[in-house]
Amino acid sequence: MFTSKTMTSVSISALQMLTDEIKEQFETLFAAAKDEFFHDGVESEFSKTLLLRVDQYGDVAVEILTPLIMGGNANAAVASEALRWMGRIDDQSTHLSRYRLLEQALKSGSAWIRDGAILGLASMDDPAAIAAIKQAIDSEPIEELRHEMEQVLAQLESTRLEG
Amino acid sequence: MPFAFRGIRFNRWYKNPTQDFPWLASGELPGDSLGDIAPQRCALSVYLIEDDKADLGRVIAALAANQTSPSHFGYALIELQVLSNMGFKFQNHPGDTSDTLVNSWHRDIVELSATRLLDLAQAIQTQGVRDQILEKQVHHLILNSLSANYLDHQKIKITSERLRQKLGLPPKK
Repeated sequence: MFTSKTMTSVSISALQMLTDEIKEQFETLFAAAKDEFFHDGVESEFSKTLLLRVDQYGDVAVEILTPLIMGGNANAAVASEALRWMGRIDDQSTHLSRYRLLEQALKSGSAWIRDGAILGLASMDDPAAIAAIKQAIDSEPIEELRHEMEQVLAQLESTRLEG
Repeated sequence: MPFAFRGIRFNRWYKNPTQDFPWLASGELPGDSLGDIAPQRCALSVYLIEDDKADLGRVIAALAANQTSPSHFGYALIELQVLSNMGFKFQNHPGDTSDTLVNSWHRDIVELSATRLLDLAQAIQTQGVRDQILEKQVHHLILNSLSANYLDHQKIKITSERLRQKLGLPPKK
């Protein structure tokens, strides 16, 4: 006979199994994408599968992606591509978790990951990012990336004015 | 003097991406940048842009409408004279976008050996201008070209239903 305690334990264990499974799926996806060459404006096998997983698992998927992207072991080109697409998803239910991931990735040690983050934020077009972008501009050592951040800042300030 | 225009991914051409490639000598390009100018049968597709750059937006709109899910658009511009002085050869060959006039501005840089490709990459890095148009602006440019009837709706390759709706295009069959 199951008590509420054993039920909770079973649920936690099932959730952990699901989380592990999603993590493994993402690790496999990121590893396979190392051989892809990404182009602006073109969907790839990687982006299609990534969007499908985020659609399936919602915030849980984004939470699992965060350490994968920020942990320093992911291929920077793949992580950058993932961030670009994170900003393009049209789903309010995961907006906040995706926004947090992009904001966090602005502080990455990889310029390519910071690039993916700023472009993801540009696609999201959420003026809430203005303060974080201003901070990122102040500490950005790469001239071209600073220029991108300034472009995005101008866009978001304009969006805020439009209300 | 006109410019040669080529779509690139902007971050592959950062001048000093030392955090991602600490072994890269100053002024050297990451090998990935060559992927943006990969030729087909030793020819590389470019578009001519007049020196006032008035048609830059129209070219970007035409090329973006040729993509399945247009987003941010990185590009490089380099003076045609610079390339001619370096001995690069051009062939007149119509482009394959949904904008007929833009297609007439298409050229192929031909007879590209691997060595010449490297010369071209270095010329783009040292003598070219690189920039990026953000997704929101790219979508505005496509809308402008649609409003001006520059684009043939049948040839537009955008498959994103959300974007097609935003641009007032019918669903893709």
